[in-house]
Amino acid sequence: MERTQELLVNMGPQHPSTHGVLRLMVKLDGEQVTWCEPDIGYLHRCFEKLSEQKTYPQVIPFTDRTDYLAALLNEMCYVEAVEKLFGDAIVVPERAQYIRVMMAELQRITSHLLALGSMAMDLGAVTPFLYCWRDREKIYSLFERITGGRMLYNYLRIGGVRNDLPEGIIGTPQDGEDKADKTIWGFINYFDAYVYPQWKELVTGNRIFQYRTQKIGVLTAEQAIAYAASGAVLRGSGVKWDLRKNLPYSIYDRLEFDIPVGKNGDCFDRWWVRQEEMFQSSRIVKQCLAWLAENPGPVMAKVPRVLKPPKGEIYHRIEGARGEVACYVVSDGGTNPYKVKWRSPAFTHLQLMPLLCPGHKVADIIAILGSIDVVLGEVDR
Amino acid sequence: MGVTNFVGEAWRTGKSIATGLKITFREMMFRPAITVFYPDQRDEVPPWFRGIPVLKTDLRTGEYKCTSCMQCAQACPVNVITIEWHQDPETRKKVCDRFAIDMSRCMLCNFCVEACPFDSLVMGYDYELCKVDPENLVFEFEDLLRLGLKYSSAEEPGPKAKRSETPPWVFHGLTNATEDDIQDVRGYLGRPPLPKGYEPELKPQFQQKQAEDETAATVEPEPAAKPAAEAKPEAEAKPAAAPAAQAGSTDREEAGQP
Amino acid sequence: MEWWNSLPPTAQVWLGGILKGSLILVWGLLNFAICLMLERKISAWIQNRVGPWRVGLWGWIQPIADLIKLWVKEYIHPNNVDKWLYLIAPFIGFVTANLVWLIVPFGDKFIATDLEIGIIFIAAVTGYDVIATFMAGWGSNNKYSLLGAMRGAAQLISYEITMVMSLIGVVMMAGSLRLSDIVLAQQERGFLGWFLFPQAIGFIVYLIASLAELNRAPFDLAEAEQELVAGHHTEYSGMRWAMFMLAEYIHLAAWSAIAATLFLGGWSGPTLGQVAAGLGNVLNGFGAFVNPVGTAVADWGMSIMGSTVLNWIAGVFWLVLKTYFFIFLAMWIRWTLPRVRIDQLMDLGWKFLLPVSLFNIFLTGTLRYVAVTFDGLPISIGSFTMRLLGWWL
Repeated sequence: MERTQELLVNMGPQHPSTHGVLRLMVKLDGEQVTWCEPDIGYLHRCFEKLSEQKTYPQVIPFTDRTDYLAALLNEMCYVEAVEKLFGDAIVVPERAQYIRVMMAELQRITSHLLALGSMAMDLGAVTPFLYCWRDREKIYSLFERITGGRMLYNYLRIGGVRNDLPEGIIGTPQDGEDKADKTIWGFINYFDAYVYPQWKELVTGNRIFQYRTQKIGVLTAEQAIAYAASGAVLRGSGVKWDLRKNLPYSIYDRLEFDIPVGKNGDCFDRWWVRQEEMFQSSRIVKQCLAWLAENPGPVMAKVPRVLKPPKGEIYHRIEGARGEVACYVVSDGGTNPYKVKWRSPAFTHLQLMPLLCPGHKVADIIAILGSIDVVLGEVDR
Repeated sequence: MGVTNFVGEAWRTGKSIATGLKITFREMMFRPAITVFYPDQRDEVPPWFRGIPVLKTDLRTGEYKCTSCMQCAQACPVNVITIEWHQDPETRKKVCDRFAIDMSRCMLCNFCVEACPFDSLVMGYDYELCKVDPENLVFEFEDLLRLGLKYSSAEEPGPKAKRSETPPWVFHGLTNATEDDIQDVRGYLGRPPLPKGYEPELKPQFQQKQAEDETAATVEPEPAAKPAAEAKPEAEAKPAAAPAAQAGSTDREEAGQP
Repeated sequence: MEWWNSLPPTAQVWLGGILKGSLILVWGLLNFAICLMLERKISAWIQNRVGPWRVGLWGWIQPIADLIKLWVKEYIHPNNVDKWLYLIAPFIGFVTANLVWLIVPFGDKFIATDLEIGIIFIAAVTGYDVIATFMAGWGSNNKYSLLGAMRGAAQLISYEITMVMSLIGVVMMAGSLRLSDIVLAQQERGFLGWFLFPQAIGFIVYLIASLAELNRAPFDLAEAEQELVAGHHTEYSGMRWAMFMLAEYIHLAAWSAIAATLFLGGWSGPTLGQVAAGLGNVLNGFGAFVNPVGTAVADWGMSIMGSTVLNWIAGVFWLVLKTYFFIFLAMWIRWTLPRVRIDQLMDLGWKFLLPVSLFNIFLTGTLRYVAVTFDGLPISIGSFTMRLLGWWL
């Protein structure tokens, strides 16, 4: 007897393109996806509960490890939240603010580079992924010189940053590619002159790539808002919402940059928004560098040795690499936070998979997953 | 799809593919490989690199600097530092019995180094920490002292003053001290303890510095501490950075061209 | 030779067959090793790496190390596989890949079997590849394998039509299905007459279609790593898995040789004798100042021009050169482009390449008709355009 049935495929947890440890349960009708559900939790590390046992500074290295591809942005969110909790008691020096913003934007470039590279690799183009890796390593070398760590920095402190920029790391605006991993100016010039145009030509302009991503996984603006999407996913759908502009924190209101917005909300638009954001980040870094070169000063506020924020609670959100990173800190006046709640954009975005996938082909699952750019460490925390 | 569209689309696709091929060809022909041949050549390690935390020895006396004050153990977010101590009945000082760092759990966050009030801990350059048996990843006191010899110095670092000036993990440049420079006052390394009243004799490479310190200390005992502390950051940062940079540049040149 | 002629005809056929077969097998394996290494090295160079480096000089012995490793690896035999299909599939792919080499002409009369229906044989043999893919996918009893096999079957079957259609132009030009005739036809026409130029459309279509036929990126859907883990050979390990790799690379080399034969003039190219004669001519200043050295070189060149063995060597040299040009092209494309999706692949095959190849047949026919019609006539107007028509003669 002839019998047809849907094929249930478990993509992951060990699958080449699940970006960590993710299991996607997919029902297939031939090549068509009829149902898709992510199964998460393989990387759960009790970050939020663990934070309650630690003092305020001790939580900082753990925030690094939630979204390990954009560690500095997470630190920034947590550190600024605690500073807000202190109110006027801690005034962060201006130089520290600039350093933080500059590092955050460099981090955003690394994170977006990886997002673009891994998405290109998911679509079968391996070489752009390795180019991304090559350029990312240059920023990592810079970060290693500044913070001492390559990937997990533990650089920001409550009240400033741990150390000032080492001598000679800023460089001069004339630095070219040969100094790309020695000075920040060198990297930024290399990025503007080489990396960004190369990505545009090699991948974004490629018609096969465009065929693979355009009109795939279309997320309308209403859906994006309803699903609490943020970051590139929201802006790809045409909503102009960027916390750096709309609710400026730190010193973002002093900097000039644009917010790229997509039109159709498909995978290609999300890709394009990321690519343009990298360029805007390099603009921000340039402005910060110009300021930092001229204004030496302290990088750490006077903070008490034992941090005891006043009783209260705070919800602070910043524009992370993948969307709004937010943290909710409750203080009971002691040395340990009473509660730390982490809002991770990747977790929110992973909910979009059941919405976006049905109706597409198997290969499109990978494209959609790549375009919403999840980091499983952040999803599971 | 009309014929114009058909041909135009084919043309656009072909052109974009040709552009891509041109880029990869350019990369292949005109750009050097960035590979570092790892076990033969190492990449440059910057001065503030955070490797394994290690313990310093004061090369003037040969004693370790750790005073078992437990600050590092408290600062550690993952509780990997184990310190056991007892009080010496004669001198009323704490004596460290065991100082162990479990490197299988350490996340190299640098908090212990920042917490150390005696400039005893430093983040070392060593990053190849893999062991066949995970139990060997618990680095005991003598392992940490041995690894820390490179970063030890024969000069007084002025710990309290230095804290506010520069970060404590910028060390004084690498020394060529060997295991023999640890005088093993407590009998820690399995050698018999030294007799009481033992005056350590410095090796030639450290004698010069000691002499300078002594003259400085004898001429102006009180104000000497501050200028020394201010002058040190520059003096220390440079020797630390210079060897690393030189080593790195040679590595790069060799690695760049296969 | 006398010894050979004294053998009975049956023995000659059998012995010759075995000899040729083993030579082809060795040749295929040699090509596999070189292709595997080239793939790694080219991908590495494109990606600013150095590739395998430790084994042998600059890592060039790596494929042998790999083969030894795969040889001693455990053969994992999953529980619920369809036993015979699972076991046989890799070898069928391997054999079909080697069969293509049988009809590749390496030189004048230097060919394993000079089939009269060479091009049909190519189409038939590459069709077997589907069977290997599908047997592996179905026999593995794995969902990813099955999906990969379905994709592979759909892809191979639809692109086979396109591929054969793109070759018809060449057959029309040469007037023969025999590969050696096609090469000789190109040799007569000279360098600019290689079918690459008059058959440009057919060439591009053939290039794309055979990339799809070979399961190579950007059409490697059957084993799409990022989607289907490894597609039809997900469940294979050890030497059986290596058989798939062997088949893939031998097939790649064979396809490149066929492309070189059909479009780039196969083994045709200057032989040593011709080169020497030409050199002698140059030394003699084209007759302006005849000197003994130039005359000696030219005479030597003329004397060895008829040597079969030397001409064969030259033929193999040129064929290998052209073959590896195509192999490089395939690798270069693979490491540049993203993969297409299955429906786009089908669209490309049926809605673009097939009409284009049909158009190419129509165009070739028309131009040939016009060229033949005007061939005898003295043409004065638009002589360049009309001379261009000679291409299609």
